[in-house]
Amino acid sequence: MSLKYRFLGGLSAMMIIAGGAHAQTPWLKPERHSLPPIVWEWYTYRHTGLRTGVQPYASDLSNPAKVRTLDVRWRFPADGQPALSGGFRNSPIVANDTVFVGGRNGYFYAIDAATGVLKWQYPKPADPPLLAEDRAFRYGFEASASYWYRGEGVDGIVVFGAQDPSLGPAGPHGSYGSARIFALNAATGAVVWKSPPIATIDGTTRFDRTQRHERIAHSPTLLFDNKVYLGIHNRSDDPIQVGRVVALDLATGQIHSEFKFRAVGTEGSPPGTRGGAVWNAPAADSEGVYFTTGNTRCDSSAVSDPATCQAVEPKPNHGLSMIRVNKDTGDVIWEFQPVPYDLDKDPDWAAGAAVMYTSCGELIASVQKDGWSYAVDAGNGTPGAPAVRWQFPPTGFPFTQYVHSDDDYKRPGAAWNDVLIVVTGGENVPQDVAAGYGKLHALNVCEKDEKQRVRWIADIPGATSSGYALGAPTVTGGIVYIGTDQGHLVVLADPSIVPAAGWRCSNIHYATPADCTGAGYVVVPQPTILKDIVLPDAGNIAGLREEPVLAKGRVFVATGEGHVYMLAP
Amino acid sequence: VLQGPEAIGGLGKGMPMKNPAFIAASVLAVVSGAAWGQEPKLAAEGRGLLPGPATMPTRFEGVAIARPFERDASGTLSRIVFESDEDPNFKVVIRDVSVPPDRQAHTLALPAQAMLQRRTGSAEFTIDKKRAELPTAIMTVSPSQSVELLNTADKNSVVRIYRFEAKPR
Repeated sequence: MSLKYRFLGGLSAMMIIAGGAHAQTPWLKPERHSLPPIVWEWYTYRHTGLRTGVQPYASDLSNPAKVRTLDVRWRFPADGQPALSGGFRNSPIVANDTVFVGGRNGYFYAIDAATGVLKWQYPKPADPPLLAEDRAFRYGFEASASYWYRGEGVDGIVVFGAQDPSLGPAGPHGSYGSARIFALNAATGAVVWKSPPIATIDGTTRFDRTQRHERIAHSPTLLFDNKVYLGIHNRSDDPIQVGRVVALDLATGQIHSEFKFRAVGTEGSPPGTRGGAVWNAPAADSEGVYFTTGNTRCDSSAVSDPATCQAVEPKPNHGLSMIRVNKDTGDVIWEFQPVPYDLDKDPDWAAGAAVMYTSCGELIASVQKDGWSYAVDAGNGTPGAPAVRWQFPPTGFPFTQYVHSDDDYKRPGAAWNDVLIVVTGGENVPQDVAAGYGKLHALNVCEKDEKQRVRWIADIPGATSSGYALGAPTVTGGIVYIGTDQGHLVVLADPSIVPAAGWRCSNIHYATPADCTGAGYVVVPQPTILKDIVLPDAGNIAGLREEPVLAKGRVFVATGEGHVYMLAP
Repeated sequence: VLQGPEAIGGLGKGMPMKNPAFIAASVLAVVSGAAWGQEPKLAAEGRGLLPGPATMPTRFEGVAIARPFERDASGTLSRIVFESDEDPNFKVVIRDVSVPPDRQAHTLALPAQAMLQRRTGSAEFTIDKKRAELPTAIMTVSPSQSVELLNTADKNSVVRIYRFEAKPR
């Protein structure tokens, strides 16, 4: 070998060794998601459009010893200033050392990530907020923004959805507040573009099927393939609306008319054909867009009057499904509907999808509102039947029994490589649907032996036992962060990182080791709690789209009592 | 971690530190490392199964579930799902029985009229020595009938019993 080739060989090897430690964000094609190569901050709900909820880069937050010293470093508004009226019910995003978050008061804020000092707000304090003037359907910010990275040295853009009273339509008490997408210069808050209306409220009469009650409150934006994707849902099923996903041009905010996803029926279906709301954040890998859909059969009026349910199942019916669509057309590539129309008692699939690049392939994972969790092969884009990898618990599907109703498994899981960490119903969910509330299950997603599906189970302190006790978990290096409805930020460690605190049955309804193994279950670890911090305002951080944000060694949460907190070791 | 020359592509043996290729590559790597010094490293990944306990624990940790399976006097594992004693004429009890996957017949004691429903699993069901398909729909059994359950799967089967007991007048 000549000296020249020896030199190149040595250089290449060194670059690989050095570069391996500074790798591009795993699995992500950043240009497809308008992201930088290394996403060490938190650019959208669940970190990136993969919606993993995982910070893949090491920091003090992935160091168990450092985590034990975690504490509040600043809050916004600062001590001595009044808390934000109405509080927060969504999570911040963090990009370019700036925290971006919208309040329930209809204002959007940019805050210095290191100091907590306000950089700008939109609209300006003297201008009206992004809220409906008609109070019946106003909702403020309940979903996170997304950050559009446009290159080093170029101002980024923050993209979010909100009601805009200037859109009308007018009602007896002012504007009903249809919704649109906003794109603002991240450095200045200046408007880059506003989209046309994408969700319409044109009346507030409950259960009136001639009115449109469309909302975007719980669907954080997805930036993917130079588009913005967003889901359309309703308010409290009074009545349900036609679930839709819209796509806009990222550069201009104009609606992509060629992308159409309608969850039920067709444009020619009879009036009143509704269902399949998209309550969650669409996800994307490199080619496909993934999301889940809500109920179809009945409005919430069916609780008192079952006759108000739709008499005939709409055709097609993409409700209660996990779905992959073509990113350009919205055509369904595959859909997985475990609960058939006849058993639809409102088990919305509300948590959304997480893209998991695992050692056993690319999987799309989620929990349905009834407490069952699933993993489906992502597929290659060829239309066809879904390849379901597993169901937890493995009771079989499509269902022919059990009650599938309005239960509260609505938060997405964290997709930590081969492990899905999620609030799910557990092994005994057919008999005790509420048993999973207030707990985290870690599931081994690649394991073929169903007995080994459960990796560990953790009780989360500082939470009620309700279905709204816990927010969505986030993870970095096996250290799990989760917020509670009583204002606790709880941090625990996967037992591969810190030895377990003890043991329990993979089916928590068995109280002794002998009964557990005798019933065919296994003994699994109970992880060690590293830190349990009560936030100073004890505000709820377990809202429907709330998560602890992990960015460059700092944790950010926004509370129902109206503060954003930064915590660091 | 910088490795020795053998590990980085077959550089000359014997005098690695004097090899000009190694020296040049090392300098470049140090320079590159300095430039990337502020960039993060990947955190630990979640792979593989966790080991089980080295010795079986004698008790479990964690918050006790409200209605766990417990053994009754006959050794049957069951849990009460619902119980009502309000009506002066009868008592209602809904109970889940856990049928273990032990390939043995388990006699079900039913002191009163009851309805049975298989909830999960695949236990076989025998009434008065006649094998029956254990239904997912509800079926009625009288106290005079002998009921046995047999589970040949590898996981428990849960059978729900809806029992209505008349109260003495």
